[in-house]
Amino acid sequence: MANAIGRRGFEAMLIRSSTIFLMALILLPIIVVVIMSFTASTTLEFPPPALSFRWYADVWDMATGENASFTRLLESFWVSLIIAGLSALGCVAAGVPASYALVRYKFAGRAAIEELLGLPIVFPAVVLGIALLILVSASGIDFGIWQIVIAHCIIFLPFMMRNCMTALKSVDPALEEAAKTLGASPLRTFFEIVLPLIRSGVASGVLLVFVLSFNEFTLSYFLYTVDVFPLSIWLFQQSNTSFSPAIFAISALTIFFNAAIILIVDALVGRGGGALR
Amino acid sequence: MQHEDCALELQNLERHFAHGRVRAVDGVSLTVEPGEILSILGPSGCGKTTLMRMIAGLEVPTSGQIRIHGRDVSSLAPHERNVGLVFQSLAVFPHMNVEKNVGFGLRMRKLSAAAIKSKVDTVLDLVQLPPDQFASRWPSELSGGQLQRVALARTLVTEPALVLFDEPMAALDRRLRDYMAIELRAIQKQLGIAAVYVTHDQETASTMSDRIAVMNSGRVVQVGPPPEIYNRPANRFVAEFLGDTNVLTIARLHERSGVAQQVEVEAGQRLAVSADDHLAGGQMVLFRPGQTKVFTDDPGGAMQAVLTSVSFNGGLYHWMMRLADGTPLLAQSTRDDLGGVSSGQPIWVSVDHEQTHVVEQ
Repeated sequence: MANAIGRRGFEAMLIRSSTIFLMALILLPIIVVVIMSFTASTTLEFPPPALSFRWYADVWDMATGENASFTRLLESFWVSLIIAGLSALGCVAAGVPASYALVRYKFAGRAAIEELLGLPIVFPAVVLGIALLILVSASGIDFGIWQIVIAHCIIFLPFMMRNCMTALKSVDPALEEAAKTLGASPLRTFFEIVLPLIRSGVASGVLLVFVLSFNEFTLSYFLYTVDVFPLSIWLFQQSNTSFSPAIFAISALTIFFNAAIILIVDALVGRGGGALR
Repeated sequence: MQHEDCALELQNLERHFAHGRVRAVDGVSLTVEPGEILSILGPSGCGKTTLMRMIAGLEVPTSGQIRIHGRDVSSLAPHERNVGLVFQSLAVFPHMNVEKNVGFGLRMRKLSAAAIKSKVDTVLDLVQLPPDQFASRWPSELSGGQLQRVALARTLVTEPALVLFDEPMAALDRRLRDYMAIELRAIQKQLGIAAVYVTHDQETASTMSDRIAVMNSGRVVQVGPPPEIYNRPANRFVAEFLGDTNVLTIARLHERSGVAQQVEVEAGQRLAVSADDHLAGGQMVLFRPGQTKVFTDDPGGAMQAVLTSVSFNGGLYHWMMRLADGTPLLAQSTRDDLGGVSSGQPIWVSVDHEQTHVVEQ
């Protein structure tokens, strides 16, 4: 008996310690970035000899000071924000109706399409980046911000659709049929019954696409131009040219920004979803 | 021939699946009079649900016509038909409270908020869900019976030309189901809305309906009032579907005398059947266990059998027996007619010729 209990205690300890190890492995780089952003030193010495807000002040100056137009930090932030917003909108517009069709209707090639949806997730982004760059150059058209938005829609649509399809599969088709027999047109049924019931799935899809697009680097690297210069590219170039701890401050702010968006959307959807019981 | 005054008229309705290899509904013609409840009764897979979905517009007929109050609705979408449907799963909208659920159809018809409120309150009173108590409740806070009433109220409030019921009480326990069946019939009669009730439960069908249409393999086998269906079934399927039935195969006609005619059944014994029945080859005699009498001694003209088991439930004695060739028979009575006889002993069984019914095999 004692042996069995001892063994169970050992197993529990093993599971706990490996979980802590994995969590530490995931969180460590983020923690290092956050700690380093508060360094008082101008070097990359870790741990920081002293703490200060000087690099946050530096970032504030880069964004709003007289050198702001030269550093273009704020401009890059807005570009990333707009790209993320448009990508999320594009994925909703394409993903929700496409998910509905895939879940509710039987047609030739449906299974193949469902398989294809998983493809961009395993597809090398570098290859897609090169391919899109060739297409854009060959067309000779200046797509401006849209060339990154379209690229992001292509790679992030599956994330949107997976969320929507899971939500749709849990909606009883009889609910839609009931609405129709009560006098609702198909379009009305979609907006009155289907959309409210898949709202949280759609919202989490939007959130995922927004955050993924905001942070995306590989495709942006191939498709950015002097006018369309996302924050991820900006950070990369800064760290290549002049590595100052201000980079850590910007990175830490980006992490806080992402976390804030996730918390806000979660609170909104969570509260709305509460009415469903 | 068209009946302008029929609430519902189906003409030779068909629905095929798998390129015509499966005929889920195979040439059904039916009428429902205004204010009438017609039950469509049949085993699962008989096509009754497909038939009902075609009437509602949720399924497209392969051929045939559907008329509601004389208007051909065959090519109309569900929301253009004004046909109410109470679903088996009830399909109460989980993201709306009772008031919003019940008012849904009225909102789709663009009624004013005040008109919706007053109609919803009236119908909630009708289904015995007092609005001040239930209007703001969520579906998750209601019992099965209450959800049932919400689904019913939601359909009735739109004043449909016809209401369809898809076994909405299947999930309720027996006692509640019987109670709801009687109440549903009372509400339907009060409003005078024509209704079609689809079920596989013959007891609910008998309690609810003015007429029953029995379906099997995509076809309507027999239509009539419940007593007629029960007492004069068109064939063995109908007889057996509506309760326990004794079935004896007729071997040959023996003799004909006045009001009765004697036949010899395959067990080799003789039985009197009504003289009204036209006898030809390959027929069967049907009679209900409740009409079957048992005796400890031969009363004259009875068939001999061997008792196989006795049981008592539901206030009735049930005697299982076998004829000489092994054909099983069941007899029921409130009195213990075979007191003291145990399994394996010989008994005698007879049935009044008025209570027998001859059908084609």
